[in-house]
Amino acid sequence: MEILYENLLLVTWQQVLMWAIGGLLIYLAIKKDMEPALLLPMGFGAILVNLPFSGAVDQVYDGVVEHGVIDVLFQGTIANELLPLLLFIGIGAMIDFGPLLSNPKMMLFGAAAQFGIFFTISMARLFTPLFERFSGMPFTLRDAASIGIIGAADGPTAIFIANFFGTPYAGAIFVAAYSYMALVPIIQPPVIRAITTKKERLIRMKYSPASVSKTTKILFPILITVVAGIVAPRSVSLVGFLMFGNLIRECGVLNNLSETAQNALANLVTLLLGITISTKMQASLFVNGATLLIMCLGLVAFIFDTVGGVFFAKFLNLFLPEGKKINPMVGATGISAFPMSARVIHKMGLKEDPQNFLLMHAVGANVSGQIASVIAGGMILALIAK
Amino acid sequence: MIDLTAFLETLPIMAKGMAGIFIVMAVLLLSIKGLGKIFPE
Repeated sequence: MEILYENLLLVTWQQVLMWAIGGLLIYLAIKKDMEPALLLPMGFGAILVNLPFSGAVDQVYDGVVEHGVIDVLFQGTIANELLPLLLFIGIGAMIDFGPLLSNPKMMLFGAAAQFGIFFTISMARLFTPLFERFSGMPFTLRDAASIGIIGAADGPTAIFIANFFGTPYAGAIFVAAYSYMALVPIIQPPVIRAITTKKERLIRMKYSPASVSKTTKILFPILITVVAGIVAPRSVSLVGFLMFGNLIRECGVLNNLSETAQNALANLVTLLLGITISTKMQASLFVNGATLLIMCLGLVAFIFDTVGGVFFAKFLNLFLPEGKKINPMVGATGISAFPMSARVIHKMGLKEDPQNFLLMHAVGANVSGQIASVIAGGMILALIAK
Repeated sequence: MIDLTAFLETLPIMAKGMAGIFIVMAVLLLSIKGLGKIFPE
């Protein structure tokens, strides 16, 4: 009979805490509809890997390693960056760059709204002694960069970079990245209201899109890949797979592949991604003060992304004539959380003035954020992974 | 509690990183405008 309960006596409070966190993620996914495709598998995975001597992850018995399926999946699909990249094909096939191509100046907001990434890297380094105290390990610039990339508001990029740098904080980074992406409608509005005036929020923007030819739509993903690849060759797989997906969508002769990438491929990868990254949520790696600090820094990253985009719009307004000024709220949509951020700003605009339609501008900036976040990942690799 | 030296060391990375993103995005902006001119609807 002892065999039935002896494992129960081995449960630690840290594991129980991880079950609670797993339960919370599942609750948020089901009840609050927060990134359910990722948070639910991650939540379930957090419980699965935190059972005492869980066979789902690697365990050592009598000096011999018995491989667990989740660790096998991690080594075979995430440690080599395979799943995040495959997901990028699906995401690329889902994105319509039309609003951006017809209003290309929105590209610059995508750049400005990456400020939170670099600000957070600096803040993480500022708290180096705290990280070292909590984790008992040296805290490097690579760890700080992995935390900063939460500000990309782009899950696959966060996974790619954190994994590339081999940071021990990967679990907390993944959870923060996906949780805050889902919290964009809660995070952005108060930040925007705090740094803009009512008059600025009432600025109306005319929408007069330029027509975009099919040739331009086809050449665009190729062009982005070449430019990004030349500037930051280490990120070319990130950008390249995203743009490959988009090329499949826009070429017009691969509709079946495009649909497969958007649906079957993206769903299959997402299904495996969530449960596989839960191996980084084992209590021994996750339950420490560093995780709390990373959650705080993740919030800082999203706040300063928003601040960067809004202040850049304000800066441009100093030089623009009346009638051509930009509503600073649109700057905040330069983050990669698409289309959530664009929707949030559109609603905020309507709340201030029911006749102010910012949606198409916001969508353009939001789509540019998807490109810029990947470029930001590439810049981090170029600057830090020397 | 804090490491100011490590913080200051990251400021050039912030400057270079943001400058790099703006340059790439500006190049892409000009390229899109160019494509629009070469291949009009």
